[in-house]
Amino acid sequence: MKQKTQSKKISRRRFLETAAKAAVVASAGAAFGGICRVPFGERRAEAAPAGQTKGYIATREAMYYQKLDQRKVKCKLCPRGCVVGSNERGYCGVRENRNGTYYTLVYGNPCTINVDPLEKKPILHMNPGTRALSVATAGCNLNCKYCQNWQMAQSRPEETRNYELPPSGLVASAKAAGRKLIAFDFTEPVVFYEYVIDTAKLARKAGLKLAVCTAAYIEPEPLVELCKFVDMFKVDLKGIDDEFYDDVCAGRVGPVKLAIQILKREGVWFELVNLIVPTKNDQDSQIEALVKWVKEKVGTQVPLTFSRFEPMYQYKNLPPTSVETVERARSIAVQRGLKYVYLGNVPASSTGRNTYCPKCGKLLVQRLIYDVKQNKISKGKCPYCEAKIPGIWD
Amino acid sequence: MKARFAVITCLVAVGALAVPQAPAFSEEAPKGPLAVNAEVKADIHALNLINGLDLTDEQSRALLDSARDFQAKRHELEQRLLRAETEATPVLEDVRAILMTGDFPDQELEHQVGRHTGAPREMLLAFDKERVAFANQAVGALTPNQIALIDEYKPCVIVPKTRDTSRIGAPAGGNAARVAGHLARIREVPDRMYAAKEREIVDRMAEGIEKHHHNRIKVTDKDKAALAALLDRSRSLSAVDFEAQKLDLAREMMLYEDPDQEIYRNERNRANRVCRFLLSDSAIKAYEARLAAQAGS
Repeated sequence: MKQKTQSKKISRRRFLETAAKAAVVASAGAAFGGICRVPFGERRAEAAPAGQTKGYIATREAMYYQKLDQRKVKCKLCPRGCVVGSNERGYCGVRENRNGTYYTLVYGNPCTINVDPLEKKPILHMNPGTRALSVATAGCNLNCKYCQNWQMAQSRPEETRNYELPPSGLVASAKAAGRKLIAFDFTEPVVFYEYVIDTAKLARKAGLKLAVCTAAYIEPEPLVELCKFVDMFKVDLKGIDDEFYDDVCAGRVGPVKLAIQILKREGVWFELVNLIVPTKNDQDSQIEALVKWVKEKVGTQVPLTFSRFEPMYQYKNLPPTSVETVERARSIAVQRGLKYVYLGNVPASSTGRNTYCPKCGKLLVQRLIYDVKQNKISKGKCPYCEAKIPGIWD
Repeated sequence: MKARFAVITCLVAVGALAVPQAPAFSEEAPKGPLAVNAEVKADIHALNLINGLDLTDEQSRALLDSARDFQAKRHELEQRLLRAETEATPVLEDVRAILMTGDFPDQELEHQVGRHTGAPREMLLAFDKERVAFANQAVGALTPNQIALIDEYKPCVIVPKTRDTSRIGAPAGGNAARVAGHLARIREVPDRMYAAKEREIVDRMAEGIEKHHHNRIKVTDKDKAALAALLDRSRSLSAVDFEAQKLDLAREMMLYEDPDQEIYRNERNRANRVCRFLLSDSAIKAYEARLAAQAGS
């Protein structure tokens, strides 16, 4: 038996009324959602933690630039050598030409402050167990597709929440916190060069040490000047050829290699880190070439860390580097004669972060990820065979 | 006749099926949920540590051998203890019978009781030495980092997913970081409200500390005054200085965190940990499964 269905006839007026009401409700909902952008109970997106101001910019005239005609400037800080017109910025996004004068926009306005163990950088041959007051501003002069701090590095200072912390304030905060070391890390200290060097000068006067974690994409002259005031560098040697640097980092390897050789010539302590990315720089031939270059141009005593990549930023499609790959890289480096080869981002059970005496093989520094469990290095030497262990051991 | 025989056969068969099956002599009574969960948790605690140690096949085999030997020793001890207890039963029943009369056991019975209760104690002391020897043998197959991980291991069901902690199976975040988070929240309390509620806030913090230590400690008024002073100090810091000092402030706040006073003092003993997690029946199952999977692949 067929069911009787009542067909409801809707008049055109009724239909239009209903549609209009629906549109009003939808737009009111969208407006309300715009006001309350985040779900109930969470902080509003615009609220900044106390002490940080969104978009706070602190400026001073930049160093290392040349004035050109028509109020243009040529930046001489990094190999990009940006020629910047008035009211424009360089590639890094944190240096701006204002009417023919070049300014840094990241002088004393860090977007992150943290106290981190040196082992996290990783810096492994400098006073194990030390925690550094680590600071960074927005900006970077590279664009590595695997960057784990891209939210800060690929941002402009008006996009980040920044503290007001001039160099003198930073040194004072480090002293007040009992920290003996300030580190510039997370983004790229080259782009906030003026902040780094002024802080370094004050830190030295105050008896504090200063470390810089950098990709070393910098011109020789500013680097040599920086070497006078910085105690140690951690350099990311990301690859060994231009193909990798161009494809992955939007840069070139030549300036980085030159910078590393300058550090060696200037006698300042530095360590190298190579992040191994599957399908990009994980071939044995590439690792061999990198190790060969390090051995010939830098020497066998420089600490070198092979670190595992985790999917991040623009490389979320790639798998994480396997532990076997970094162990293989380490094995290649050790066979070629490098004395201090470490592994980064490996499980706690791995001995890849431990320091062993290259002469007698005894365990000198035992690390469980970032925790130093034992440190037997005494006055910079192995306590068993008196072999000198390079590094900074206060 | 045939029909009658068929009926009788069917009745007998139905009767046999209807009689409830008596449990077999050697079958145990079914375990309750508490016992089942305890067993499963023991397996999980062992597995979390074994997974975190990233044992090689060689290490797994060495530990499996040690665990099996230890298991045999344990069973042997259990049998001996059972025999000793069985022998003690008549003596204890004699004591009970005498006490029921209101009288006291004589010296001879006292000596008998002493002998029977002393024997298991001596067995356990002797076994303790063997237990430590087994643990040392097991540890000999491990690297210094793996041994350090065992020392730091805090058993839990779900291992926190954080790369920063050097411990496996540890409670998430690390205590100092969590406490620093509390400090940050207290900093955000407006001044007027804080002034009005300061005492209440400190009292609640003290309660939290006592609860954290399972009410085994009592926060004194002196400690509360120190907490209040610490909160004032952290609130007076600038944002930058607080970021730079928050972990140190948090550690100052962690009263009574002296490792010697921790509740799990016994479990800090390496031999106890090794025997409990790496040489247990749960561990044997884990090693066998892994080695079988490796052989299969």
